[in-house]
Amino acid sequence: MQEGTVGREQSGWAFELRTLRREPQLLLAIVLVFALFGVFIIYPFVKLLLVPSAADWQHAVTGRIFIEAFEHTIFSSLLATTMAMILGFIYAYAMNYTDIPGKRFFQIVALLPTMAPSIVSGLAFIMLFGRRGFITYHWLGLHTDLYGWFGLWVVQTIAFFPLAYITISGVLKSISPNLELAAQNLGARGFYLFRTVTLRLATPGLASAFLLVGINSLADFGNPMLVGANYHVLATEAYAQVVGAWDLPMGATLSVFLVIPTLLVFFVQRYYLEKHSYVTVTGKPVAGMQRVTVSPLVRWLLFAFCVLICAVILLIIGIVCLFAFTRTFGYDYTFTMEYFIEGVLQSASMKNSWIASICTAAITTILGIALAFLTLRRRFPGRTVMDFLAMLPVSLPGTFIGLALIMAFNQGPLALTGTLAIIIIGMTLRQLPVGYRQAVAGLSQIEKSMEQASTNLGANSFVTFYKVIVPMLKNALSISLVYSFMKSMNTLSTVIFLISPEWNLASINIMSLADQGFLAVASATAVGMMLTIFVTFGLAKLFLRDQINIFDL
Amino acid sequence: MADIVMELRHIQKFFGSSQVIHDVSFQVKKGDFVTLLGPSGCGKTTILRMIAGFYEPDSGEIELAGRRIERVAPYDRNTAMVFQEYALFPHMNVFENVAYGLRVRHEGSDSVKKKVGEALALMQLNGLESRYPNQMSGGQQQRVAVARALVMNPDVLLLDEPLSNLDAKLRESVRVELRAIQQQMGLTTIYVTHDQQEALSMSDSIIVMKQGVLHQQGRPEEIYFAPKTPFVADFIGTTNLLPIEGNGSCQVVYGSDPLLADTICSVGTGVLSVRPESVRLSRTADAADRVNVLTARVTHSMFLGEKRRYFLQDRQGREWLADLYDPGIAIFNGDVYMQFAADRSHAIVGQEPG
Repeated sequence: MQEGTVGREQSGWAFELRTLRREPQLLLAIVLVFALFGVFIIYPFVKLLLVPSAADWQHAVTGRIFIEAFEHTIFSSLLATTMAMILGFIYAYAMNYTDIPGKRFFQIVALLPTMAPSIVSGLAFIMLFGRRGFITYHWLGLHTDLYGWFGLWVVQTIAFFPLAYITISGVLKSISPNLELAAQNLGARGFYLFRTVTLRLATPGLASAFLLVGINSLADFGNPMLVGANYHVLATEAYAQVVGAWDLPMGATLSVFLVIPTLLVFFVQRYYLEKHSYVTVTGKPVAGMQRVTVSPLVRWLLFAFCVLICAVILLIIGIVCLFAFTRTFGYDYTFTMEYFIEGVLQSASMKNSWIASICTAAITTILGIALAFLTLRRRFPGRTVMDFLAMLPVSLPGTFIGLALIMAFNQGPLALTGTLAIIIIGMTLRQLPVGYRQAVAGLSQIEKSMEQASTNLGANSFVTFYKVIVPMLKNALSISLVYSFMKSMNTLSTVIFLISPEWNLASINIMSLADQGFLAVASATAVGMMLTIFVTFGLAKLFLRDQINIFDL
Repeated sequence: MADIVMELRHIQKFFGSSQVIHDVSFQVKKGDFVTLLGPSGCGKTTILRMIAGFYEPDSGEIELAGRRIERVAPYDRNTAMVFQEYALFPHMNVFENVAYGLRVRHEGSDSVKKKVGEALALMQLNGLESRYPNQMSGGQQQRVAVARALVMNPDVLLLDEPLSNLDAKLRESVRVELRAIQQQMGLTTIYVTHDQQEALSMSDSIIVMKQGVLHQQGRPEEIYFAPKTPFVADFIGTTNLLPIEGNGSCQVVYGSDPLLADTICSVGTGVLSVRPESVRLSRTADAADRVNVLTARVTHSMFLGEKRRYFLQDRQGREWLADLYDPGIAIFNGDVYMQFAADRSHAIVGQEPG
């Protein structure tokens, strides 16, 4: 025996590279991924950072309007996020901890707004409470002006409620009912149980959800544009600088300032919260377990709350539909297809949106699974860097991504401005983290021995990937397809700088039509958007049968 | 030696900076059923995985069928393995699972059909070809996993505790069947288990390991009757271990009692292993003129059906176990004489009690 010889497991770059050399295809795939990340993530963002001059930086931190925009951004997103989180929590609690009637209905209605661009809530707000709003002006005869921070608060709360609800619901679901049963068994009940067990277990997850919703509302572009009026936030101010004042460097500077808080949030979440979570992402729900921990009175209060929320959501969708299909809602209620024909059928933008979104969904899903396979199941130098880059775009506001891309690919060998490609690249960057995270979650649930069995029987990484991994990840795959398609259809901020006269998109159309006061056509386009998404899902369901779970997010 | 098909030479393996395999070397003869046996954490599965290629040894060599394989990718080794949790592909039916490896090799569909058919017949799985793993019992899944490995006709078949998820009765019958198939096919097999009964009943050769160190390799009888270390003696079956000293006159001394052991004329300190079933008890002193007699007191006893197990304490305060087979209803109590034959007491010299 060689006792006394000090040894270590072989590791490090040299060892990993030697292992890789056995599989040239794998090595090639890794190099390709890094090349793609280098060109489409690192290069544009470095480029954007280099555009502003020292004077621009100085101007941005001293200029009154910019400081104001910064304050507005923080203030309004804090307000909206807090409100959306509170509503989302109560709603999610009602869905997961009570047996109120109509739960299935409530669940579906809460998800409906995610099928429309978030500015639909802004659009509905204008139609109901605007200067010529149906309720404020037409019914009550008021000459109110709710534009500004208050309007933005209401609109963003509604816009981000579904996201808050979905995320919190996920957190609550992953708390093992056994723990609550154990607490009940020890005599805890009602609010005491809620406070000492449920809330305590959920806290890290809730903090995560708060940050996620926060990032989204910080980066929101459409709603501030529509109902913010003179209440400028960073996203809209950056846009105004680029499009209004033709000051590209200033726009870039402001978008960098927008990235700072979101990046901060990203790091907090990634390196702090995830390590302090009690609940695992992979926690399996205990089958057939119905948690009922509330008294009858609370139960009915929760029911009333859910009814109210659903009413608001349905009101929004309803008013949009009514505006879309009546001649002049409020005055002339004749049914008309005119606006629908103009906004949807005669406009190429819906088709463009569909093409770009389908491509994006396919790319992000495949890329996401491939990335997850590489980072989770293969060892190679730079694995953590790859993981970081794949998750990074989640923290980048759409306007930032868009600006970086047009600056990077305006000229030179990769002149992509004005093409469909740059739109797809932008959307893909934005959605990649979602596809990646889905795949990582799915892959972590698959026993490693499955792949080992495949390798053991003679299959290399590629064969194992498409014969074993991909088929087993069908569920994660379909969720990521559905989600990134939907989000890409609806995205506004990412593509606002990327569209061109030739490649205009439906979501942009809704905003500019609404901004110019063509509310009926804007509504019709929004309805067309929802229909397009529904029909696409319907077709997908038809082809994929039970392999897809659209409402089971 | 032409009939050695696999050899491990001076294998070392670390996880981080802690060493999990200490300089392990052994040879495997063609067609042999070799069992890696040891408690959990002894490194037996790590060895198996290094043969399959899921881990790389940090030093040392592995030779299989005349080829050095320790740096060969796992998919180029032809070391089909049966996983503890079976690892059947849930999205493929039985036929597709078993055919997987052959198809990866791009074998023709006729050949695939024929070989899969044979493997399924061998494992008595005919008629289940189109079932999916979740539609089968644990026992059936286990058969599919074995068929999937057998069909590859591997240079060495690796089995990672394949019976641990079966109930006791089934385990015993599968044991017999698996051994029969292995012998019939002449398939070199490495089998990992912590169950000594499995190891003793199935193996041509057993390798006993503890904490990454190979303690002994040998036929089951050698391992059982002539353990080389106190650990092997204690781990395989049950035994009484006594600290002894050689007295230079072909006896060993336990305390002040001279005893005779199977290894004659041992010198130096060591351990004497006496199996409980080799210990005889008697109440009367007439046993005193025979060899290896000790007095002891029965502390308690336990009825186990085919035998009664006695717990005793000898004059030096040491605990003993003695198994009396076909016990009837009579029970020994109080002071008794313990006696065992010289060829049933095995001296392990130069070792401290484990």
